[in-house]
Amino acid sequence: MAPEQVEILLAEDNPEDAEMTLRALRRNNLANKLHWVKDGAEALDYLFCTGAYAGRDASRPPKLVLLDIKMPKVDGIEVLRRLKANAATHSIPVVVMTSSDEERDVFESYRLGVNSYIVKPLQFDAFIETVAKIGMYWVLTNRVPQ
Amino acid sequence: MKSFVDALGIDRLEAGAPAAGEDARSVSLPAQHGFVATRPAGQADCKLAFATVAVSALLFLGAIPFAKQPLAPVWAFIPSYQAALVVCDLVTAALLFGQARFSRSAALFVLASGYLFTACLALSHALSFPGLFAPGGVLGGGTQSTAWLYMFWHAGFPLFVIAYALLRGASHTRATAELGGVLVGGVVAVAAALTWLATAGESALPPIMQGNRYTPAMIFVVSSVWLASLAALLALWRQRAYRVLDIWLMVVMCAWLFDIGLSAVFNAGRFDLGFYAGRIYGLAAASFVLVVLLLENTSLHGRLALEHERDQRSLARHSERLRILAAIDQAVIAEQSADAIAAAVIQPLRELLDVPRAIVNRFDLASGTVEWVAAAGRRRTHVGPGVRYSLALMGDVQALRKGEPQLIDVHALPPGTEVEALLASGVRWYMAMPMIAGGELIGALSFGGEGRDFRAEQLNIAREVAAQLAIATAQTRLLERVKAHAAELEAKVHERTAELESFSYSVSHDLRAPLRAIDGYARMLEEDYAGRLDAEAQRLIGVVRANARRMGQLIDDLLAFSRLSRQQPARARLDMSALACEVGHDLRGNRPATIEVAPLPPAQADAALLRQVWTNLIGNALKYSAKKAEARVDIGAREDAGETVYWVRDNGAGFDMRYAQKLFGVFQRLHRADEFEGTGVGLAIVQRIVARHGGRVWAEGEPGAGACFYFSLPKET
Repeated sequence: MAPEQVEILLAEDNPEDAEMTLRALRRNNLANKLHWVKDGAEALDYLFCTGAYAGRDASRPPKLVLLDIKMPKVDGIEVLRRLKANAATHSIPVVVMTSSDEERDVFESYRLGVNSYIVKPLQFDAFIETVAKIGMYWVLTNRVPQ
Repeated sequence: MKSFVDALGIDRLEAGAPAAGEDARSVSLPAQHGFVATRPAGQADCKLAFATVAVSALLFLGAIPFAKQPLAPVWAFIPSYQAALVVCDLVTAALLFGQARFSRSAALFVLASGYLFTACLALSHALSFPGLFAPGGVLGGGTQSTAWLYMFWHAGFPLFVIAYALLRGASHTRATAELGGVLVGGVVAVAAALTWLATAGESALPPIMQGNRYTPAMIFVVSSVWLASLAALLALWRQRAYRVLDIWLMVVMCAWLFDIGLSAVFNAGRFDLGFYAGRIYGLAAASFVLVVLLLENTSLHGRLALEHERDQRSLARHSERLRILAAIDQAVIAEQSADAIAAAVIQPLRELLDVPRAIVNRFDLASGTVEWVAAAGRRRTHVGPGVRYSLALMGDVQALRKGEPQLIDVHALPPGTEVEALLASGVRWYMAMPMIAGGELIGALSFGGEGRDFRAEQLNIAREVAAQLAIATAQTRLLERVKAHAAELEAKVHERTAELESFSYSVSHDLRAPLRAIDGYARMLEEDYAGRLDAEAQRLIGVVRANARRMGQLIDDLLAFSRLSRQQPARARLDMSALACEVGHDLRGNRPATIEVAPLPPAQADAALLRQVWTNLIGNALKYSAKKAEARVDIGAREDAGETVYWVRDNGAGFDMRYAQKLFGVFQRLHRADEFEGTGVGLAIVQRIVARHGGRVWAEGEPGAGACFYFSLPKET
């Protein structure tokens, strides 16, 4: 998979959640344009072309970031803060997908400018449907400033 | 740290200044009845009276042999003597009337009337005197008129004295000013009548004068008059517990006897030695009581002025004492620190105690030292810590512990710089009044100066203030402890809340992910291997998924329940009818159930939380009545005293009242999961929300006949 083809960046530390997310996106042919990072630090490296991703082309940002909140090293809220604070990345749509519906996370995410906040449904069918809808909407339907 | 010597030097120059209140101490008068009429006669009074009588008697006896010796008629003697007499008697009468009115004594009224009577008759006597103002006297009449008036006059007064003596014994006759008026009128009338009798009615009276000589009838008349005086003297003599007035009245009556004896018995007629000497006795007799009254009045007045001044001073001191105590009280109530209170009161306290120096000391028993909290000298006030000295300067600590003040002689203290400093600042003796709070000796109030004598009043003031300051100190300490404890508790609560929050945060994240995986992978197994799974395998996968779902629901409910205890209800006026209708409508959906909502009184409550209550109760009612052919839910309310009771009634499965108390416990269920779904958290949530609003929940039910759930909310205040 060539890096420039990436349309979705998935930041998720839980491999089962990641696999289910991939399964949902695959049904809509969105999975082959997805890059999966396993913690917040790696997500930042990817987005800002640093560390292991220093050679990545910064002019081709992903069309969507699917962001878990509770992750090792750097959590999703911090990734969101850095992303939205930077002029180069702040227009990338970010959808927080998390297990918790803790009020403080919802408030903080919206305060930082999240585009959507989704509580991962416990039931598989609902989960698949939700992820598929998000992928379709933000990648295929939504338009971002070029 | 400032040295003790320097600190004590604040008012070295004021040594030896006399205490301002010292003269007040010397004005100590015995509390006594101040009036001549009522004051008991002392030995001095008796001695003086006896001496007067003795001298008079000697003069009288010496004069008798020469009584008949004729002397030149000095006409001027008579009017001047009579005028003096009248004035003396009138003034005496006026003073006595005054005292009679004040003490409301009938006896004094009578005596005052007696003096008025003598004044009136002395006047008539002078006016009738032949050859004085007119050859036959001004009032007319004959040769006997003047002599008869003399007899009436000298017989009348003793009668008044006898009446006085009789009334005086009668215990406190309450006389009014009206009695005085009646007596004055009566006396003037009697005097006028007697004057008339002696002048116009002279012919009806036996002659007692022949020219300037006495007739034989005179012997009888004058004996009677003399006897009247003697009787008056005896009447006074018989009294018990002489008063000053009694003593001097006896002197008067003696002089009166000598007067009559010389001027009407032992002499021969007018203008002999007896005539003149008798009249001088008469004037002396009239003056005794007057002089005593006047002297007494003057001394009374002086005494009153002194007492008044003393009262004023003690009043001023008393109100200052109250002011200081009230100020301390106020400060204690305002929760000021003991040190601040001591600083504020030390100077006024020193002025009130009237000493050159007053100090509030704090004890450090462990180190055996004393520290100044606040100190006042005549010119300066020291506030705050910094001055320390040995505890030995406070006297016997054991005695102080028992609350006994210590009198300390600076010369008797072990010599050292501290003692030198005390002496240099003029403190020779001082008193240490212990401050005891909660049975613990915490300090002392010390004050002193040149002298070793401290008044009871000073000790009382110091004791009161020391007690108040001790209370303030105890309060300050208590307050600090309470504040520290409250802060500690608050910190603990914060810590616990934070722990709880992080716990439930972890629960909500970390417990859900595996559940999602269980459900997801079971589903993937179903999808990907559908052809190879038989019916039993699919059933087993279904059970796995159903339980994962159930666990998810339990976690959600549990989190919702724990969140309630962290959330403060935001109260607002709530339209309960609208809320119940809306929730009922949403929950019913397409179910074949009837929901009736009666008009409900509004509530003062948190909208989101009350929505949860209605949701859980109506949801339950729908769930448990779903198996009935005609499911019915009735919602209503009633207003009781102080609270509104709302209810949700259904015709569903009901419950056994024996288990009613388990209904509202967390995870408590009365039905098996295969009968009705549920986690057993819904009613616990209802119970917690209602309790947080100050209300109660309860339920009634019967198996198969339905249930009714009630909750009450306090009325808006």
